[in-house]
Formats: sequence, structure tokens, C-alpha cells
Amino acid sequence: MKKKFQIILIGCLGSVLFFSCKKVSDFLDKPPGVDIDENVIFSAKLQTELYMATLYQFGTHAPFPLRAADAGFSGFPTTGGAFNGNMNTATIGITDEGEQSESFAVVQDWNNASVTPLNIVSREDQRYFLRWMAIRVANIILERADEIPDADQAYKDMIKGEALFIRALNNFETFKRYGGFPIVIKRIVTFDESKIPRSSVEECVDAIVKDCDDAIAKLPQTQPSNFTGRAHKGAALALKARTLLYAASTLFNTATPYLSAGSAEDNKLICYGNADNNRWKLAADAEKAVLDWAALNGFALIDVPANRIPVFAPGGIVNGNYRTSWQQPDNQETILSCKLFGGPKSNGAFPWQFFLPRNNYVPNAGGNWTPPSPTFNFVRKYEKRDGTPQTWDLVNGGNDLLQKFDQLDPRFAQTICYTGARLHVNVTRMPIYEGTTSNKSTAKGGFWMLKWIPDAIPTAAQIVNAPIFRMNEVLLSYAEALNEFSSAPAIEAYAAVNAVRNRSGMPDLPTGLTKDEFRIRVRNERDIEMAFEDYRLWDIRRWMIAEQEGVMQGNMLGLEVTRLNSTLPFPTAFSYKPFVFETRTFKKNMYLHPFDNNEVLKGNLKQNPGW
Amino acid sequence: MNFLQLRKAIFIATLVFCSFNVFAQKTISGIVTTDDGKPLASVTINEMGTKHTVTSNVSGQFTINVVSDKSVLIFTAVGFGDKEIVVGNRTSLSILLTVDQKQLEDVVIVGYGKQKKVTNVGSQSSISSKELVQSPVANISNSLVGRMPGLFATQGSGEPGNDQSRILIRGVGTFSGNQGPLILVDGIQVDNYNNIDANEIESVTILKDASSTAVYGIRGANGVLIITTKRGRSGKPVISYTFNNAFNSFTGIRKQMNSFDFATSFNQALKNDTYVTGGLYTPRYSAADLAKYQSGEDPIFYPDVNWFDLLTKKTSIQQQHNINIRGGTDKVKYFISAGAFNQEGLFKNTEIASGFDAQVRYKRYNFRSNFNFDVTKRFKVALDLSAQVENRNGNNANTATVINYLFAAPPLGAPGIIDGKIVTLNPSGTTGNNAGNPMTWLYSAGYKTDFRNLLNGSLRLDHELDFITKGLSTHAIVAYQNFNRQINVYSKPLVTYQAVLLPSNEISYIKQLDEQSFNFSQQNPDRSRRITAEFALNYKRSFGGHNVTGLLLYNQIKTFDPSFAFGVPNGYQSYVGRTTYDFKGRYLAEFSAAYNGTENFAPGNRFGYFPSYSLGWVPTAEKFFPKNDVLNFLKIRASYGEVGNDQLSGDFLTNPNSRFLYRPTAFTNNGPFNSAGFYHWGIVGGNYARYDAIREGRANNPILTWERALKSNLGIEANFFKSKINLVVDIFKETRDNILAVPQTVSSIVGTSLAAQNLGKMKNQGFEIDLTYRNSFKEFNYWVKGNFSYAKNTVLFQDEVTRAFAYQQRTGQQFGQLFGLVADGLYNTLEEINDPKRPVSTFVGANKLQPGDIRYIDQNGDGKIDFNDEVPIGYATTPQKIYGFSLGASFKGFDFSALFQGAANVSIAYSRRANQAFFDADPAAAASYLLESWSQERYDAGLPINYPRFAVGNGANGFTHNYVNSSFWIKDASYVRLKNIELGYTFRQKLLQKLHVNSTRLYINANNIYTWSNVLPGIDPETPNLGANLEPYPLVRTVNVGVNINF
Repeated sequence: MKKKFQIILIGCLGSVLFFSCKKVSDFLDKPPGVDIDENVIFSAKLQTELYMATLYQFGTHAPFPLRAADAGFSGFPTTGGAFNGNMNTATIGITDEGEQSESFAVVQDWNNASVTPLNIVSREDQRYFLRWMAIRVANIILERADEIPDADQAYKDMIKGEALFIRALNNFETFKRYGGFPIVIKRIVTFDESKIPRSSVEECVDAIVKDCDDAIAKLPQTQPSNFTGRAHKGAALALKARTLLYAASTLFNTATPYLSAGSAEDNKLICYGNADNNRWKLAADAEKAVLDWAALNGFALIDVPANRIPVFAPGGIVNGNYRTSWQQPDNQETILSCKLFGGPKSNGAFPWQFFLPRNNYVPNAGGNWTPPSPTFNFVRKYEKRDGTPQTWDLVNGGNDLLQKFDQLDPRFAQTICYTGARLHVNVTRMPIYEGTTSNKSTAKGGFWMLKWIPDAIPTAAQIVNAPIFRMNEVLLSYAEALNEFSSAPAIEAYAAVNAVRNRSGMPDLPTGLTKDEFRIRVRNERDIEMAFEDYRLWDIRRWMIAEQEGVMQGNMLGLEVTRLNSTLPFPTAFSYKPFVFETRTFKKNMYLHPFDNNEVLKGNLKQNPGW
Repeated sequence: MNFLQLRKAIFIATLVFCSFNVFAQKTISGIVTTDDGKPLASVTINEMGTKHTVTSNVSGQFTINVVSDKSVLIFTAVGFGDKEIVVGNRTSLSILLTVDQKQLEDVVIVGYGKQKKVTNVGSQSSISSKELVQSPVANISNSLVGRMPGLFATQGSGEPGNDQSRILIRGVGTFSGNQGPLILVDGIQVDNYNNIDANEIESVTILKDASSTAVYGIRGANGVLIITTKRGRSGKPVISYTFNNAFNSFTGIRKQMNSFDFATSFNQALKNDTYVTGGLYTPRYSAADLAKYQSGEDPIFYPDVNWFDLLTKKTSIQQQHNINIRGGTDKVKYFISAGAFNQEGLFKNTEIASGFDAQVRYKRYNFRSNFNFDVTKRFKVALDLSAQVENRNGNNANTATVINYLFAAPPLGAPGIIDGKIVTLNPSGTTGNNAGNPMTWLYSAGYKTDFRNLLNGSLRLDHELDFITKGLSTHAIVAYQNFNRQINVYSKPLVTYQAVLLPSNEISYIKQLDEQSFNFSQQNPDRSRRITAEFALNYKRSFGGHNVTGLLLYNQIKTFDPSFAFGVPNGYQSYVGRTTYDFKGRYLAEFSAAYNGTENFAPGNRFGYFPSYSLGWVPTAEKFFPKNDVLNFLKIRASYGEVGNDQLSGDFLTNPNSRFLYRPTAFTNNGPFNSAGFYHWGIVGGNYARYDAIREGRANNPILTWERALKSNLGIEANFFKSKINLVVDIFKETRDNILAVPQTVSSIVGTSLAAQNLGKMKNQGFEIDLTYRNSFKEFNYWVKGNFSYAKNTVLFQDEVTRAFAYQQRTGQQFGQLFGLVADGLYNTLEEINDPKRPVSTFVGANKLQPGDIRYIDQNGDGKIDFNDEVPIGYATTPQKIYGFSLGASFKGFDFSALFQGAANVSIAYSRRANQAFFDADPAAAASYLLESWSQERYDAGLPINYPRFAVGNGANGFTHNYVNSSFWIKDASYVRLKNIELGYTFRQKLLQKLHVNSTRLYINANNIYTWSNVLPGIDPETPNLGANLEPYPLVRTVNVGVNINF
């Protein structure tokens, strides 16, 4: 009996192992059904829609600093699959628009020319690796969209059109930074396929335009309201136009590049290798096509005549057409916007904390990090309301600062938070003057930003309005391209610029300007109208004006503001005195980004000259 | 055939099998006692050369049959020295066994069992409970360093509950995945061993070479650390109570500049910066300000606060109680232990805001009961239950952040605490994280309580199968671990006061906020469980002088944890075999093999076969070896084997990119990221809605298979002068092949996470020496021990991109080799700066260097200083050499020991809080040694200059130039530490016997007493650079007084 017990016991010992799993051979297998593979994505529309969200999440570019966590990334991919931190760069601080002194905002490396191929990713192009991921998603959708069994042809066309648009958009973003790039039009599977070299500027522009044309053919005129934010014909037309505008610009449309890349062949990686004025015609026609599409589909400038010149009351909100155009998401002049930021963001979240002044610079402002301080170089570009330049005493300054401000273009008060202006509901009188914490050592330019800051932000989280294509840009680009193509500014060019000016209460441009005079005015208009929207850096480079004094090189001016009385609740008079807060350095090689060093070392990318 | 017949058959077979045995002829009885006269149970009594074996009963009595008068009886008992007696004409014996501290060395712990030390051919080291409890520390890992050859430990923090060391066995062998060893407690794999009470531990053993680790195939590649807990012994219950009361204090704090120095230096920095920016120099602090900072006349508006003094204490208390009972009968043996440990952090004024409890506190309760039941003669059961309950408390901002802000807070930012109020100078006290009063920020984060419970249960059944064949037995284990964790966060807006000077010249403290109630939130709880099951057949038998053992074992582990990628539990399967052979203790051989399966590889590649072979020879056991007093034992052993690794990354279980690497690419909501993907469509204010995204994971590799470590080891063990001197020398070499890694040379234009491949290759080699000398002079016993370990690894292949210059390649260097520019002092004059031959600095705009900037060597001679000039500097942050030296003595009741421990061939890269002043745009504090920074005045006065010029802001204004990685900031972190010292006194028993106390020992011991190193003052050479905005909680020195009473 005892032995029997023992044998049974030993049997139990052996079997005790297996009670936790059904089959020993299954022990190490992953159970089915916990994830899906690529075939599942294209097995039903419902699944494909999940992947469309990925396409946009990877593929849309916000003009603002972005915290990875706010956008569904734990970090941004870098070489070798590691993940990096946040996108801390607002290009505002790279240009004469502003000075971003936050140490980790890293844009200062542009201003003292210490950007290198080793730090370029963190200094401006955190999306470099993400763009290739977006292009891969687009290529996979293009390859397999036709397989979706429960989708009709219209849906298949639409998603293919969206994929083409996102591929073109990402290629354009690479193009504007680097020039020629490797054209990846199908998913890369093998190691050999990954060796694609850079193509010439001409091939790259053609590839982007082709994708846009294909997308235009496939995309619907507009998207239904619940799909606002997805690409439609207008978005593809606008992207095509912007691409052609850049391609026609001096940086690329030239026989000799800004620096020689070595050989004539290599020069074609960074410019066309010839100058052709017809490229401006292509650009102008493409812009015109956007305008035509907009007219048919209800997209137009916000222009309520009563709001052209907003009401100015001390401490009050300056609410005009212009402010509405940047504060109200999905308004009628937004062709496409980036909805990467997701839900409402409080003042401590990106991007607001990069725009709001720190609390210890401006009490109750609500910011944690140093925002860009707009420079005096930039503020000087504002005309007076009669369309003539404002006069500033650059040497001695003056005692009439507020009077000077009052004379400026109404868009000034809707873009810049100046001394005594309202920032938002909690800071109705901006204390920028010596003796406060917003003095010339913190608010170096003498100003803080107003644009992009919703008035209610300190009390209520707000959804971020991050437009990618807007009507005002299209009009100004159209005017620029037409003027460059013609020998003298065309009447349509005037009309386009004047539309933008008039809706903000500014008079028409004087008639009879020469081509060169018109160019100066339209560029200035663009600087003012599109301020802080991530246009200026790229405009400076394509116009090749970086080395002009005070643009990306030379003295950057700030205003030293001093109060002249202690009237309550706020002083009523201030003096100003311009001073140089920084002398910036620009090197020729900075006309294009350097490719990330580690990517160059992999062998398929030829580095841009001078890096 | 019924079972009776079977039994007979087996019996007969056994008789035949053992027929060469001679039958016993004489009966001996006796009693075994300890040297203090107590009967000793469970002593094994064996007649040498025969199978005659008995054990003593509870009264210490035994009876044994022996062959003849010439028979030799060997008495062995755990914890006592062996004794050999020639029977002679006696029939009754009275045997005295003495306690042997070396008992552990008689048997060694090996994978899945124990082996006799003399015949073991593997390379392992171990330390006993006695040495473990000498260190008054919470974490076992901190007691190991310096005591075991081959063990590399680095302690990065002194934070209560979080001060464990990183353990590496024989250094680093792989560049991917987890580099740490496999940890087993009583044979069961665990993730955390640091919370075990040292009083529960019998020994800690590390397995180093292939011979000892191959049975663990899986993850044995990085070595194995085995903890064995105490078990019951036959005999009267012994109750042992230990109480420790210790005081912790920081080993070193770097001194910060005072307000005057700070303000002066800050102005200097602003001045320096204008040279680069071309801007206007405006001093932040006027001459009047400076005068006030210097005189200290106005502590409210011109404060000079030492935040470290204000917010940390000089000493904190640490207490530990442990009571355990150990005893047993011949049927049941038990060890039961309960312990409580409490360690306070060194923060103070944590309660300044009412209701806040932000002190770092670590409380732990340990329970363990280990039972052994001899159910029948053949059937034995062991049941182990243990629990570790931890209650932690601390600031909700993690402690490294807290310490960072203490170092960041400028002395003049705020007056600190006045009349129990947190006072600021800024109108809004809760922001501006680097400026002002650091308390505002620290307490605004709230505090958290963290409760963790770990429950372990293990049931082991042993059954002898000697009715099948002699020496055969079987065992099965089922073990269960359960972990639970809950974190509560309490926070409320902090009430601060702003100091304002009224026109009447009175100071008013304006309350910035009304009291508000606490918010309470719970973080996601952690939980996991693990079930281990094992079944084995063991065989052990001697045939004449031929001793053979065998082991066949099956083991499986399943871990359930909701945080695992895909929510799938993790499984491992192993089949293990081992056989050992020795001939009369002269010729030794062992073969072992593991056949392991992992979920990370496809079914065809899933199982790996990991064999190991070892041979040993004991010349001193040879007849021809002359008996001598000099060399009384010598063993030469060699092993070769293969061990595996299946992990791509340290987080291979939770990271969806590292799990199930063979499976077709998974598309998940997270994809290659750690957070969920989404996008929004619709009109804001209307139908705006969130849409989940699905993202492509890592590309798959169906042919992926095991990373393999080929390990060879040559060892010598020798005892000299009647074993007064013991020497162990091991030389090892390891080549790691097929290392799992992601290729680095594939262009990112592919746009996906590339599949891992078996591509890397690395080698690691070195040696260990362990030398012990023990002697006694009358009642004076003394010993000296030393150990030295050296391990140097080299990355042989990792698919690295071809860098512009060969000296930049990481391949060919050791893993983690630090790289940087080579600094050649500072520029001192404008002539040097303006020298046209001076290389251009690419780290500063327009090459605008100035005197006081670092001069770098242009390695490639291209006239530019850029990252292409980076070369290997120093070593890695893990040491190549680690050593320990200890000595001790006992005289009558007194005992003393001291341990010195050190590391060499190791480098430190200073954190930016340590080497940069004012790197935040706002005033951020600076270490006082930075006063020796370059300035024209210092240079002209010939004062010592050790640091580059001041500047404000990280990365701005040419500041980058001076703070890129360079030999200026990567320094030798070699050190020697007086790690531990202990003095004890054991009271004579006669005095205590009336109190029924057997023995009482009073002792004082101390840890981290003094460190010699060349790193900057106030920085510990072991503490790591944690990265931006994190500073480690400094290591602590512990002085402990304790008492141990045995009833």
C-alpha cells in the first residue's frame, strides 16, 4: 500500500508541472488574436481608417513646438530606433522675428552658427525620421488600398489621394530643408533598396508635383465637416503651389548654388543648375488654381468690414479680422490644419508654454518656459496705418513709445504683446519696462508674443489651431510669383496683396510700383501677415537674404522701455531706446540644413556643401 | 507483479549491484555534543569507504554498525567542522563537534543543487550570513561589493529604499539587452532580491564560468547570483534577536557659492557673454546689491541661503529588528524569521507646509518560514513562505529631481523659511523652477506613498527512488510569487508668502494663496505573478572510488504582468542535464547541458542547446604527491561551455519592439512608441473627435536565434600551510557571438523599426585572485583577505557606420567607452585666441572664443574643432578593476573587522550641475569650487584657475564650446573606500545563563566611512551622471550600534 502511495505521489510530482498549460508545446507561443497584421488593416474600411489616422499623425507638420506625449509619441524616432525628447524648436527664434533665450530651446545654435550635422535633428528637424515613417505608411496604403473588400472606388481613390498628398507634403518638408532627397515611392524591403541616393532638385520637385497632381485627381473637392483636417483637392493644390513657389525662388532656381557642392552634377542636388523665369509662371498658375478652387468651395479671407480695424480699449482684447483668422480653428480661410495636438491644452502644455511668458517674467502669465521675445527688427516692419513706414529714432530713442505703437498697422496689436497691451484674460496690462521682471534682460526684443495665445488660456484649456495652408498665404504667394514672372506688377498681384491688407484696415499699395519696389512690399506684407507661422526662416533662405544686416546676421535690436510716470493702474507714458541685444552669425552653408551625420555615414546621402 | 514483489526484485537487484560491499561486523553507539556540551542532532555519521551512514537523534545519540576496529567514522553536520575518528576497540563514543565558520566552503552552491567543494570544477564565490549582516544596509547588493571576486557592483544613490547597487558578474559581456546576472532565491528566479532581510540569508553565491552557469542556458550568460536562505536544524529551538540602530549622513555634499560670490560670478558671466553676443553688458547685480550680499545686512531681500542646510539634516535614523527561531526534530525542521526595517531620508522641513509628508522613508517588514518535513524515510517536503512588505514615502517629484533643485537653487533667490512660512521674493511663488525658493516647486508636486507587497511561496517535494536503483531520487518544485504595488499621490497648491517692503520700511509677508484641501490621486497599480515549476531526477552514487552524480531536470517559468507588451504572459522552458564524475577526489569531470526555449524566437529556432565541459585534477590527492606542510591542497580546473541570451533590450518584456521578435510585424495602437497613437478630425467646437491610430511595430526576423556566449575558464585552488592560506585564481575568456542587435548601417529612409539580427560580437576577458590568510595565536585569531578582479571587454562587431575617422569607431573599444575632445588647458590671452593657427571652434558662433575658453586638440588637423575630434577618453563608467581587502581579528570576546574596497580603470562624466555654473537662463546655483574659474583678474593675480570662464545659459553664447564632452570633464573615477568596519564583543555565557540567554553580542559597525578619490569634492566616484535635471541622492555613511541575543 505504501509503495502504491509512493508511485502515485511520484506521478503527481510529474504532472504538477503541467497543470498551468494545456500543451507543453504551446507554452512559449504567443496566443492568437492579441494584435493585428498588415492584412487585417486592409480587410475592412473600419481597420483602414485606423491606419489613416496613423498617416496623418506621422505625416502632418505642425508649425509649433510639440511635446511628444501630447501627440501620441513617447518621443521622436532618431537614428538606430532610439527616441529623442520633445520638439522644442520654434523657428521664430532662428530668424529676425524673435529671440528665444530658453536654454533648451536650442535655436541659439543657429544664431551663433553652431548647428552641426551632429545636432541638426534636435536643432530644427526632429521630424526627419518621422517623415520617412509617414512616407512608408503612405506607400503601404497606395500598394494595398485596392484590396479593401468593403470599400467603394470613391473611398479607395480618396485614401490613395490622401496618401499621395501626405507623401508629397513630407517630401516637400525634406526638400525645403535639404534640397534634393532620396525619392522613395514604394516600400523598402531589402537592404539594397535602402541605398537610394539623393535625386536632383529638379527630379524632386517633379516628384512632389506629380504626387500632388495625382492626389488632385483622386481627392474630393472638400471633405465633409466630420473629416475636417483630412486632405482634399484644395490642400493638394496649395501644396503644389507652395512647392513650385519654393522651386522658382532664387535659392533653387539658379545656375550656381550658394556654395559649390563639388561638381556640376552634385550642384544639381541643391539647385536646378539653371535659372528659368518660367518657373515663376508655373508657381503663379498653381496659386491661381488654389484661388479658383477656393472660390468654388467657400474658402475665403475672413473679412467682416466692421472688424477691419478693431476697437482699442485700455486692457481690452483687440479683436479684429486678423485675430479671428489665427485664433479660431477651422475658420473659412483655413485650407488645411494640423490636428496633431489633439484635445484641449492648458497653459502648461505645448505649444502654449513656448509662447506664454514665464510667470516670473510676467506675473500670472502662466508660462513655464521662456517664450520668444519678438525683436525690434521685426516690429520696425509694421507700417503706419496710412501705409507709410513708421519712423523710429534708432540712436536716441524717444519719449513717445505708446504714440508710435498707436500709429501702427492694426495687425501689430493683434500679433505683438507690447508694453501696456493685453496678453490674455489674466494679464490685461503687459508690464514690459525697466524695473519689472520683463526688462531688457528677459524680454530682450522689448515685446512678448500675442499671436497664437487664446485670450482664455489661463482659465480654460484650448484646442490648438495649427494651420498648414491658409488663404492669406496663397494670395501673397500668388502676388509674389506673378510679380517675379512679369516685368512690372500685374493688376492681379495688386489685387491679391490689397485683399490681405484691406481686411485688416490697411490701405491699398500705391500704384505704379516697379517690380523691385513691389517685391519689397509683398515680402514685407508676407512677414507681417504670416508672422510667427513658421514661414520666415524658409522665406529668408529661398530669397537668399539671410546675410542682410539684421536678418540672420548682424545686430539684433531690442527696445529698452522706461516708464515716464507712475500713473495707476498703469503708467501712461514710456520712453524707448533701441539697443543691440545680440549679434548673430550666418554662414553660407546654413542656406540648407546638413543631413544628420549618422545618416550620412550610412553611405547613401551626399552631405550638403560646407558641413 | 504486485508492489511487494517489485520491492523484492529491486532489493535483490540492489544487493547484486552492491555485492562487493562487505557486511558490517561491529556496533558502535555514542553521543555527539557541541563544545559547550549541548547534544547535537542531525549529525551525519559515515563509515569511511562504505555506505554505512546514520544520523544522530535529538539527544545527539546514534548507533552504527562498522566493519572493524580500523574503521574510520566521519562526523559531519551543517555548521560544524568535520571530525574523523578511528573506532579502535571502543564501542561507545563521545564526540565533540566545534562550530566551523568555514562550513560554507565545504559544500558549494551550484545550479540546481550543491556540490562538494573539493571536487567542484566550476568557478563560483560566496559569502555567508555573517559577512552580510556586517553591513548596516537595507539592500543586500550593497553588502556584496569588495567581498566576492568577480562581482562588480556600483552604487548610484543613497536614497532610502532605492540605494541598491548595480551588479555585474565579470563585467559586461554584451552590448545589448540586460547585462546583469540571473538572480535566484532558493532556486527560484526572482526580479528583486534587495528587499530580503540579510538575517534570513545563509549565503550568497555567484556562478561565473560556463561550468556552473550552463545549466541555466537562458540568461546564464551574464552570470548567476544565488541566494540561499536559512533552514531549520535538528535541536532545541534557538531564538535569535537582533536590533540595529544606525545613523545615516551624507558622505559628501558639494558646497555651493554664497550669495556674494554667486552674484559677482554671475555678473562676470554676463560680461563674458557679451563678447560673444556683441550685446551690451548690463550687470544683473549692482555694486549696491553686491555690498548688501556681502554684508548680509538684509537677510530678507538680500538673502544668503544654503538650501542644502535648510532642507537636509545632518543625520537620520535607521532601525532594524529581527527575530528568528531555528530548530527542529528529526521529522520537522523549521526556520522562522520576522523583521522590521525603517530608514529615514535626510530631508528636513518637509512638514513645513501643513499636512505634507515629503520625507523619504523606507519601511520594510520581512517574514519567512522555511519548513522541512520528513514525511517518510524517503519522502521529504519543504515548504517556504516569505513576504516582503514595503511602505515607502517620498516627494512626488522623484528624489533625483528634488536633489537637482536643491543644487539648482541660487542662494539669493529667496529668504527661505521665516516664522514657519515659505517666503519668496517673486510675486508668484510656484513657478520659475530654477529661481527663487526651491521649496515652492518641491512641495507643489505633493508627496506620495508607495505600498509594495511581495509574497513568495515554494513547495518542494523530494522522494528517494532507491527502490528503483540506489542513489536515484526525484524532486518537484512549484513556486509562486505575487507582487502588488499601489501608489497614492497627495497634493495641494502650496501656500507661500511674498516678502514686500512697505513704504514705512516694514516688511510685509503677503499670503499668495488661501489654504486649499488636498487632492488625492492614485497612480496605476503594479501587479505581477510568476509561477515556476520544476521536476527533476537526481542520481548520486559511489562505486569504490568512482563518484558519479547525475541530474535531469525540467523547469518552466510563466510570468504574468499587465504591463507586458501585448498583455501576454512571458514563458521560459528548460531541459537540463548534468553529470559529474570524480575518481577518489583526484580526477574530476563534469558535463552539463541545458536545452532552453524562449518565446522570442520562431518554433524552429526556439530551443537552444548549451553544453559545457569541465575537467579537474587534484594533484595533492595523488599518492605520488609528497605530503608537505607548505602546499596541502591543490586543484587545477578548466571549463569550456556555451551559454545563451535571448533579450534584445533591458525592457524586452514591456517594449512591444522587443517581444516576439520572430512574429509577423504587429500593428498596434502603440507601435514603436510607448504611448497610444491617435489623430483628431472634425471642426473644433463641433464634431471634433479623436481617432485611434494603428502603427507598425518592429520588422520581424523569423530566423532570429540565440545569442551565444562561449566561455572558458582556468582556475587554480590552493591551500598552503595547513590551509592557513587559501588561494583561488581564475582566468577567464568569453566570446559573445550572435548578439541580438538592430543593424545601424541601414538608412532611415526605410521608415520603420528594423528587425533585430544576430549580428554582434564581443569578447570579455580577465582574471580574479582571491587570497585568504587565517591564523591564530593562542586566543587571538586573525585573518586577512584580499580579492582582485579584472574584466575587460571589447566590442568586436556591431554593424557600426563607418565614421569619418578611424579613431571614432566604437567597434574595437570596450562597451560604454567614453568619447570626448582632448582639452589642452585654457586660452589665457587674446594673442592665443587671435593666433591664425588656432583651430576654428565650430561650437561657438563666428569662432568667437575668448580667454578662459578651453583649448582643444585638433586630432585630425583639419583646422576645425568639431565632433570629429572626439577620441576615446579614459574608460567606461563601469570599472574594469575592482578589489577588496579585508582584515579581522578576534580575541576572547572581542572581534574586529575592516573592509577596504576600490575600483580602477573607470571614468566619470560630471553632471552639468557639477561642472557648469548658471547653465539655466535664470540664476541657477553654482558649486563653490567653480570660483576657480578663469577670469582676467584671477589670471593677472596668478591665482589658481581650474575651470573655464563663466557664462550664462546652457548651450547659449558659445557656452557649448566649453561643455562638450572632453577630457576636462571626463575624469578618472578610481577610488578606494573604507567600506565597512565592525567591532563586536560577545559576553561570556556564564554571566547570562541565569537569564536563559545563551550568548549576547554587542557591536558597532559602519559603512562608507571614508573614500579616497580624485573626483571633484562632494561627488561620489560611484554616482552616475543621470542626465539633465537629475542629480543622485548622495551616498550615505552609516554608523550602526547593534545587539544580537540568542536564547
